Amino acid sequence: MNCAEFRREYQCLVDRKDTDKLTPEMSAHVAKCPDCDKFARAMKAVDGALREQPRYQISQALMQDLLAIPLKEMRSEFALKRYVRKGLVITLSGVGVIVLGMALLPPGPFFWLRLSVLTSGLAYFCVNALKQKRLTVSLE
Amino acid sequence: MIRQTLQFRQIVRDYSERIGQTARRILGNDQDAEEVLQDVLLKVYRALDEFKGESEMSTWIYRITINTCISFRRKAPRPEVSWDDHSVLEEISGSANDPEELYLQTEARERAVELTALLADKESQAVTLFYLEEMDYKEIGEIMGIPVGSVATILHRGRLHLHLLFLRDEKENLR
Repeated sequence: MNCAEFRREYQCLVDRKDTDKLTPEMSAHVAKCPDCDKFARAMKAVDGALREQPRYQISQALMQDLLAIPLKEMRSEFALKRYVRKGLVITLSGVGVIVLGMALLPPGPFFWLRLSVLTSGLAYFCVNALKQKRLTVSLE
Repeated sequence: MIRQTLQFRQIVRDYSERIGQTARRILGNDQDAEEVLQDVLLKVYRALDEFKGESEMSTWIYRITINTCISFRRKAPRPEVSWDDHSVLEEISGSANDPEELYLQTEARERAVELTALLADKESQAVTLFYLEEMDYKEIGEIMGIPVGSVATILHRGRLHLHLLFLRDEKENLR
């Protein structure tokens, strides 16, 4: 048995928690190879340290937060729906203002009045649409 | 909705600590582990409807945990550790430290958590799932999406590199 074979087989024994069950070939090799002896002791020691790691404990406050995830999600979902509804109303009312402005004022005369109605309608629509988009993104 | 909420609450009770432990081992500290724990459970809740039971619930949750930890590690930079695989064994045999004594120190267990986080992604995941969750090669392979044969190799390399990190850490402390 050479060093590479010993180290490979020893790692498998560590995985199976069988480090005391060296085969005769392994015992013979480790007895005459100080490097492999050191390797074996190191792997056994690191295995022991990993098996005895401290447990992770969750605080009561964190546990409450985790249990409240469905409630938070529900709230955020409702809020999202509300904002989408509101956004729809704003869009429709913006379009309404523009259509009304166009319908009430005949083409030709009152050019500046018609233009100001249209511009303000569009501005109202754009500002509110952007505001809704920002709110919706922040909710997501 | 109510059924989903009740199922989720049961998951929180059954898995929170294990998710937190896994995350802490991979990330190396409690603060990051807590953040990942919340993120994982939120993902679990949102995807609960889509879980069809094709794999074990625990496998599914661990896969989400591992993926979330990977994303987290990519976002948060950590110290880079380098080693030449050929010289690893020489470094171990050439060290003056007695292996057993190295791990007898009181802070060794805490250091093991921190140092595991410095291993490569796959090594820290394999070490965590093997030691913390006591999973076998097959389960680890399923969660990590790698062949069973590779699990042993990655695990062995992880253990070797972890010992090397301990040696280097000890050397730096002595300076």
